[in-house]
Amino acid sequence: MSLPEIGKPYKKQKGAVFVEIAESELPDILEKLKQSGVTRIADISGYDNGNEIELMYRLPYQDEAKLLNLKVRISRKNPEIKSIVKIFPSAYLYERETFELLGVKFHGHPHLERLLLAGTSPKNPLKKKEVKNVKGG
Amino acid sequence: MSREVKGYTLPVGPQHPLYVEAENLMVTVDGETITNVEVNIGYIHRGIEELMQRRNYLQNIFLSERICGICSGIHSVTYCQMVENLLGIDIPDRAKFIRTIVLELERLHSHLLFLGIMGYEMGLDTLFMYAWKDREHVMDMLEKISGNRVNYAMPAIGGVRRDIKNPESFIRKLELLSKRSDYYLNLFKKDRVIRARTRGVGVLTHKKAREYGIVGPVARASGIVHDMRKNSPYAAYEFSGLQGRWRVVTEGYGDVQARVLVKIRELKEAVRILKYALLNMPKGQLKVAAPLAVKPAEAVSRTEAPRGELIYYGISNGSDTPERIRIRTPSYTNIMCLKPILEGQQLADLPVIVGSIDPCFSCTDRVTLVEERTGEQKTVDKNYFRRMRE
Repeated sequence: MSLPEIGKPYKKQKGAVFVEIAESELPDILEKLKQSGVTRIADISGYDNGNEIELMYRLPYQDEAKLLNLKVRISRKNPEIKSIVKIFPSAYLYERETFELLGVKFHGHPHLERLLLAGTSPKNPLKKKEVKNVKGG
Repeated sequence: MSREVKGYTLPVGPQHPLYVEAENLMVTVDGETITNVEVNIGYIHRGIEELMQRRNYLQNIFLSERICGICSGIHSVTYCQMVENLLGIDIPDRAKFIRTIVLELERLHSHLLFLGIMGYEMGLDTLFMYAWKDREHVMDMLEKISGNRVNYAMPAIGGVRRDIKNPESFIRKLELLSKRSDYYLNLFKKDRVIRARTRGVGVLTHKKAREYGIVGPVARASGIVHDMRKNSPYAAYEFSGLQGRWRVVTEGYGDVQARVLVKIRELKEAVRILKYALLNMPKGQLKVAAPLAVKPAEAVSRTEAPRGELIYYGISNGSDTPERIRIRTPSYTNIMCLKPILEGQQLADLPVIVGSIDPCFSCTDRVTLVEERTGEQKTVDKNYFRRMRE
């Protein structure tokens, strides 16, 4: 699957391309990428920008020479997305970590549970806290 | 994770003589054979990703260096490259060479450390002493260059902080190391005890390695030709003169022996890279000026750490502090392959197999937040221990 079929990159840098895609397209695109020779998913990371959660799926392509960064925006209030463990089994840990740090529910993940934090740690530490208007210092 | 496995479950770790660091493997055994493995990580998390969001870009260089005690240099170089990508600046050629020299020296010492640990796991303490004695030569070189043995503090955003003086003076020790790696190669290929402990043990097939997305020397031992220094060159690896001096090492069998052989042969390749880089350092400045604040942008940086592909991803927001930094370490990915390579093996081989993927648990557990525990935590006082003794 060539890059134009996925979408127009919004940013390019040396050795990496950033493309934003819709949440619903993700499984299809990953399936097609896998058929076209992408062998692994290198990383899934999440970022809470205050309004929504940006998930970034990183796949090396062109014989590992470039890193394709697929950005997917999902709702912040009820963050959920389909798991891709069936397509790329190596997503197992990354999805579990993102679930733990940002509370994103990956539907279809075989074992979506605590991974790194202690039982007493605060939940979803990378999710931004709701900041209320505080007057004065 | 199926719970219906018959047999006896044995916890290995978090505190166990097998590891220096804390990690837990729940191993189910049927007699002496391992039938199921559950890997539990997270015992050394320090919340580095979150801590990075509270520090400015300069402070983070030193924080990233402290993620791992073995591959400290590669973490700070990858971080600096990521910030340079955010800023869109290019660093001087001499700085690229100095970074590469430090990284390859680090690879030498990391691989020799691994070799020593493998000897130790097999009960060959002499091999452990030999390898660590040779590692000491590398540590001396790193100390001569940077003044430090562990955290070199060499890279800066926009270049490096120190120059390397008298590069020719390192060649003699490098040649010695090249000879020593021949000795180790011979040992691991021919020695009967080592062969009996490593051959056909803990096999990771090519197919499984692909499926689990394994990176670094573990993947190369299973026949995957995959090295960021060749596939996606950075620093001085971009120069064709240097690229022509070395090649990616692979082995086919994917067993413990293959994983060790890959690392020993990589020692020789690292010496080749170092010799060329030390003798062909371009002249010029060490550093270009870089602003303290970074405009809103996002960037990634990918490098080959001694254990495999390392990824840094950053988002800037216009201030002097990053908005979000994501670190994907190689050991984190490779911990996945413990399950397939341990199942079906003998329990007595567990230390050798776990040692052979060269896991770095500090890297694995780098993320998340550490805050004061809530009041629910049980406290253990000295009376508790006194009672235990009685």
